[in-house]
Amino acid sequence: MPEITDRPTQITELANQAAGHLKSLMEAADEADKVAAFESYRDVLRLIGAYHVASYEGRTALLTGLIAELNEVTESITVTNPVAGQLEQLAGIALRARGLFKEEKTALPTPS
Amino acid sequence: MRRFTFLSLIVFTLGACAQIPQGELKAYVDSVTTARNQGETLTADWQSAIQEFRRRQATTSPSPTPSAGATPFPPLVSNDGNSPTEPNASEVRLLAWSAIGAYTDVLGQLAAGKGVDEVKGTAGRLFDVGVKLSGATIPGGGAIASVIQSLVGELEKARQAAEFKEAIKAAAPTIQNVISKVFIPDTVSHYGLRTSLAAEDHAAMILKPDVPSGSRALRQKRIEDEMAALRASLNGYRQLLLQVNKSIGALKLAVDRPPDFVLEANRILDIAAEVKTHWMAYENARKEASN
Repeated sequence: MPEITDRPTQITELANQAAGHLKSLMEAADEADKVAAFESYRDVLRLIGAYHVASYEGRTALLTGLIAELNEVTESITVTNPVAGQLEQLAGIALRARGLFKEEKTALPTPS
Repeated sequence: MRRFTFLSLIVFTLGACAQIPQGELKAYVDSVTTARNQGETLTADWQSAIQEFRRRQATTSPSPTPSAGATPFPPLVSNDGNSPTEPNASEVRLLAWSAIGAYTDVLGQLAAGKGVDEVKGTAGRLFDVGVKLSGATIPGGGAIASVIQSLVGELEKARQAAEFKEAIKAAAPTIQNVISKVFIPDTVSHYGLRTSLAAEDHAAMILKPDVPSGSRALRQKRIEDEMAALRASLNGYRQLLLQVNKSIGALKLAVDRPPDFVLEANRILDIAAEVKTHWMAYENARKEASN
């Protein structure tokens, strides 16, 4: 059984063979039949085109799912250490507390 | 000296952690950048091809066929492409490249050690705060801060290397699926649609008796040349996509590979030497203070 990715190629080859025969007919036909032969040829080409469009668009749902998977991985990656930011804030708080404590100490009334 | 031996043990433990394989990462980033550029250009061409195809479908009434409505090639899914709720297939391809680009950027940030300096700076400031709060003067305090910063920096590098490894293992199969199940088959559809449009234009020239045969042949030759150029372009793109698949596969193997002993030994010795220098500075400062 051929792989699914080979299927469009196989179908296109088959349709191209049919289109080739129609084109030969078109070239051999007299002027009156040329238009009819061209229309048949064009219809086969449109079917081939429609097949490829459907095939391309049919993979979009799969791709959407894969994008969601990839975005999930990207969002889960932690580039900068979250602890660093928190410790930075903690250091700020500690320094502020120290300053306040000093101010409070100097503001205490001296015992008489 | 016992304390320094303990520090060395920590350094060796850190050194044993996996390293980010820079060479393989560069090959992957380069392949993604090139393939993305080509992919975006070809998506624009697909967009214009499909617009032309739909314009022709809308303007030409189909000629009667023996089994009207039934196609010999059933579509994979029923999709007329006009429903407003349906995602635009081309836009989704561009979104996929954006997602791969964003993921690759994050890998680059991890590999560049973004955040290591930040963490080292925080460690140094915390030490200063501790000293200020205690109100004491520590002999060789600056050297201790440097030792702490070196160790914390190595810890952060090890964390980032572990994060990098996880990121590769989690996303490599997804990226390989995007390429092998969507992007590569897309090239077949793209060439197929363009071929059907070109073949129609090529054949239509036969129906134009008013056009001189020389000019007709020239126009047909131009169509053939355009198709040959597209074919070469799509084949080139396929090679680039295969290269992306190969390079992320190599990256995945590299993060699982046991570290190179000589390389790791040299790296660990470098870290140990740095820590030792700071530690000796501290010991000397302490001795001077006690004398």
